[in-house]
Amino acid sequence: MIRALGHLWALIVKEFLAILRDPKSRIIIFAPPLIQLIIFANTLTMETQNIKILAVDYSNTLSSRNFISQIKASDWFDEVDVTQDKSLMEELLLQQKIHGAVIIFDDFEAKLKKGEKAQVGLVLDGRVPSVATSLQAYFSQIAQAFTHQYYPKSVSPIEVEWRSWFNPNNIYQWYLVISLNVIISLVVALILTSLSVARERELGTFEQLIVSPYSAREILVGKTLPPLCIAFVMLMIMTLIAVGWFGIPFQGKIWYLMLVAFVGLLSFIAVGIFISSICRNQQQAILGAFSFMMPAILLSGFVSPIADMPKVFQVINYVNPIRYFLELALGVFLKGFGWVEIWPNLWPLLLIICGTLFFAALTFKRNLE
Amino acid sequence: MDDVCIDIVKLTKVFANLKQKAIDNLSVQIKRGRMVGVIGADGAGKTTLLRLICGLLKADAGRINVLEKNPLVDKTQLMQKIGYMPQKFGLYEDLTVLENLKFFAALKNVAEKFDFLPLLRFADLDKFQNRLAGKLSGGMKQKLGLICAMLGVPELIVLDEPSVGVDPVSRQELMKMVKQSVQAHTTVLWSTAYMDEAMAFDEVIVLDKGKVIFQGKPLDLGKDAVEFEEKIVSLMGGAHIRPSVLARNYPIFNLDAKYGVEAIDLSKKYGGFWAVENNSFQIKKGEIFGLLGPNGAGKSTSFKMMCGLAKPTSGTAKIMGIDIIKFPEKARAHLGYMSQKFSLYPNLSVIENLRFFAGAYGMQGKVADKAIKRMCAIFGFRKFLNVNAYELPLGYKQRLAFACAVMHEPPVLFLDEPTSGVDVLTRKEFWNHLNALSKIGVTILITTHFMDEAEYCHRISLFYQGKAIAIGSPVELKKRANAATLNEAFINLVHGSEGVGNVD
Amino acid sequence: MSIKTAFIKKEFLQIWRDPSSLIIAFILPTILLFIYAFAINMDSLKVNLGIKNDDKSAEVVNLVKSFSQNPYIKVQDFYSQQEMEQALVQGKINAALFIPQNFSQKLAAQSSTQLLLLCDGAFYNQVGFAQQYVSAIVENWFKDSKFYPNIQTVSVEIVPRVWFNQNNVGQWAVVPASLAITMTLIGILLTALVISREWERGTLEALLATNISTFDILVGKYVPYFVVGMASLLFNVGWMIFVFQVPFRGSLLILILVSSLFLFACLGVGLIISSLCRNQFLASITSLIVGFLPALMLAGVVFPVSSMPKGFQWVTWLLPPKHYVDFIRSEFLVGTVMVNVVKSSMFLLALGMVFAFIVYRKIPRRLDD
Repeated sequence: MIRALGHLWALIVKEFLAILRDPKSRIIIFAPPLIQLIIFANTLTMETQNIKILAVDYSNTLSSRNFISQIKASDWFDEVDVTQDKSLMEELLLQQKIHGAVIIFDDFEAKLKKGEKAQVGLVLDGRVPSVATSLQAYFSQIAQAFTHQYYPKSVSPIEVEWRSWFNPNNIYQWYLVISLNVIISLVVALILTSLSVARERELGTFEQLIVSPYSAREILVGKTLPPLCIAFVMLMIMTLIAVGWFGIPFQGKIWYLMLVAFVGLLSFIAVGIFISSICRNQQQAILGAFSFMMPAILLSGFVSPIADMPKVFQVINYVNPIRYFLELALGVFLKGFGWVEIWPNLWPLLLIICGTLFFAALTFKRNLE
Repeated sequence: MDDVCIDIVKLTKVFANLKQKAIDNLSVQIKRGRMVGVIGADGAGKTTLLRLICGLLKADAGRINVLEKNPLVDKTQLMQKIGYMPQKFGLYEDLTVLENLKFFAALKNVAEKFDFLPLLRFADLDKFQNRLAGKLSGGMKQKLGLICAMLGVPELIVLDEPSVGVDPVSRQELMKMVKQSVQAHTTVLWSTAYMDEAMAFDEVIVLDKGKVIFQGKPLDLGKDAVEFEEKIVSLMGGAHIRPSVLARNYPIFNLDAKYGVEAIDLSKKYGGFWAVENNSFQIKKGEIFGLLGPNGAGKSTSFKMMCGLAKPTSGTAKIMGIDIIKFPEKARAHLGYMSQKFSLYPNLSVIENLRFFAGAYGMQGKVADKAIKRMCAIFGFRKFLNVNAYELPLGYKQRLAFACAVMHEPPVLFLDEPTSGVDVLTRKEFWNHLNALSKIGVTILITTHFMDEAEYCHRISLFYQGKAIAIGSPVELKKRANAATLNEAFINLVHGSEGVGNVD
Repeated sequence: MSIKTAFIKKEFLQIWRDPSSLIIAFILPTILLFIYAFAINMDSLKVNLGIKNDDKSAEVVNLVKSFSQNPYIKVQDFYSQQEMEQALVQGKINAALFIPQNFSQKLAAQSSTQLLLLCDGAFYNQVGFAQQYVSAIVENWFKDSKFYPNIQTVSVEIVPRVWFNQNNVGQWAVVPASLAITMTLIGILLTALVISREWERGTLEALLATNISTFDILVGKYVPYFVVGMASLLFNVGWMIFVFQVPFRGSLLILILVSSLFLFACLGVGLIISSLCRNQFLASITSLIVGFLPALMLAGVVFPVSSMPKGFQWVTWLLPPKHYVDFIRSEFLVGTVMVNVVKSSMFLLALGMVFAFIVYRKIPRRLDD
């Protein structure tokens, strides 16, 4: 038994060396992902900010100026230029120097005084729909705030008070950092494994490995463990950064997080091994890893929720490990998931692991023949 | 000075990860129109010197002039006049023979209308011109490399160990090809570890530890290859063949299997073509069994089937009585394997490779440490311990591969061309080990291109066109073919079977 | 045949022999176009809303009904607070709305009242939408309900008009922009291994010993992948115009010109990696770890660049996809805006030239370089 383990240990040590021996690869594997995490977490946001807008004020009255100062008072806007000349608007919008323009018509004050509905035009740039959509939402809030301030009687008596559970201030960074942890560890784990067999095949060392008394199962274990350890350490470092640097409160149990991380990363690695087993050389392996990663990340629910996708993509997503891992990571981290909540997302991962490893082992065997 | 082709003065080249200087204050002059052999032990600096001449490396000190130009400064002009064939097959394996040839022709400004057919015919590659270069046999690859290097009628042809991994027939052809095609004023620089080739050169330069220890006509050293070899050996400090340390510590095998290796009706079919047909033989324990045959005769395929790397279409093989197909892991534990293509981990250091293979065969802790130490002492890895395997000199790569194959002391050794590219001293050492091992009962299956080595085998199986056309001891085979030397026997037997082969 | 042509021909043959890169270059972008077109939706998300209604008055039942009539909301009724909160934890619903028992009474009494909306803050994307939808529906219901005071009210109505993309079809903007991300990565991956492979296989030694110049190698490595990349890019532009029916209002000539500058820059990134790495393993991990996430995250497709911190926006100027995203969106939806085209082209050209210069300097000239 000990002899058998020692024999496996030699393979594992060799795999670690193959990945980490070159100082350049050590740097590439650890430094850019961590730097990326910190940069992305500090720069990416779903909230539209730094907006530049042009106000075309045909009304040029006290009310219209009040409305414009209402716009300026909100902190979404970077620049609010006021003009009476509409011709400027077109050019600025076309050249993307402004994100949108608000047009206050000359009957603005009159209508308000009469107690009617005063219309304000909002011209948006359809090239960046997310900005256009947020601008619409911002302006209806501004309009409400405007009426609230100057015509308090007209305000609706119902207040929808909303609370964001698990993330009381609704900070995007929390969601982003945890999701990035999953995605970054995916990138690392998948690349290392998908290259491993393909690389040996190209260098001719796979032959030597086959002639040595390792079974296909042992080779699989040897190929799995080192990238798993590297990705696991990486994920733990990133979790510490999430808690320590970004101050995200960790609500769950650390053991659950470790279990989820272990299974989740193993699922990525199993996919990587599968890719590697069908590729003849390293060029094919990275193209394979890329072809899996890109759609899988886009479909995982990170960018847009799975529930909003057409049926076909929802079906494809049943075999997307990132999706389950993402849900589990967010759940354990922010919501304090217990076993009952973990299990429904855990077993699909286990199935994916078994399936891909089974096929990988099969291709290994076939390779020998 | 017009007749000087290469002028080297006090050249020194140091690599950061090697303790000794690769080229050490070396001065040498080579005249035009000569065919010069560069001979030396592994790690003597042959490759480094050739690379410096071609401007592929930058010297740390000294001056080097090639065709009156500095290879670093006037590289583009100079390179039009030089044909270089690197040691590692420098052609594109994913291009066909013809595509490779056309590509290198264009690089050398050979006219577009150039007819490649005579050249291909000359190299016997005309039938394979549309085959991918990666799928050629070793000898064909070298021939292709050679004709690529000779394109464009260069004034200087630099060949780095062109005859490594090539069977004796092809090797003679290579030499003949070079001699036939060069013009009177063309200089040829040919590095080699094979002494029998040395006699064919106009002049030899013997390198040792980065220095020239002899320059002159081969006949000045000895009247024939044997005497020449002895002189060279003594120049390098003499051979010290002692009883093999490797065999002394080797356990003696008393497993109850009758044969070390058995091949039972081994056949392999690729498409409609039988690469190996109904091959059966038994190798007794302690026997050195040689597989011989031209490149592509099916000996490599048989070899691979017997150690479980390729699955036979029918038939099987047994290692120490254990079926390689039914119990592959168990059978492989009794096996030491050394492949023809260097297949150790190139990015791992020597010591890391040794550690891995020790562990792979279940050695641990002190046992492993002891085994590794022993290997380092026997094969002289001390100065290379932390060098990456791919940076080793060719001969040391072979030693490392051999060390990894015997470290776990297996009762059966499979060695695919273990001595190709290894210098004469080391080759003697290798055989010293093999003989000693066979005496204590280790079964050895070996393929080789060296006829003098084949003589050391107890029995030989001669392969031709997928079949074993003759099996027997060297003496028997010579008698059967009515030949004086094994080389002759080899050629006679192959020609004899060709007539038979044509009937079916 | 000149050296350059021979070299280019050789590269083409190699691409042809292992067509994995061709397959990836043509098939993958198309798959990704479909994903971006149909599965990525950031503007109108569906929300699973749990409602616990304690007010059984007819008017409020109407309110609940109007929730379920909204196409963006899927309502689930709950009768126990605990159950609903559990569902929120498990992610079965995105938000939970509590309607208090005295809701209609209070409204009838003309006093102000509150509704509580609990959102799943762990999944940021839906939170804002849930809140917007609920407020809007409640507001509309209130206006039509009997509780609405029959007085004239003043209000400001925002009338949005989305230029260049009248219906604010997210697809139209995302699909062309997605091509920027995909082509960046394909450009990098196509070339990332091509020099390191020659190192590893030993062919570089043979090459360097001929009179080939560094410039020949440079041209030989750029041209074939440029041709493949351009073909793939135009192929996908065809998909966008004819299959996805994205309106193309620009000029094909300008599209081709700017696209080639963009591709030139992307290939440069891949070749820099390739010329710096002496083995394919290092080149592979570098290209994916360093290239993948920045291209995906910082190009401005998923996260608008204008919302990033201002200092950091300058950094994105160094990324080719950023300029191309700006350009291709305009070219498709607006037509040629000369000022912007010139700006984007200048940047892409400058980046491409700098990258090419680095590649030129870094292509090995000797084995011990």
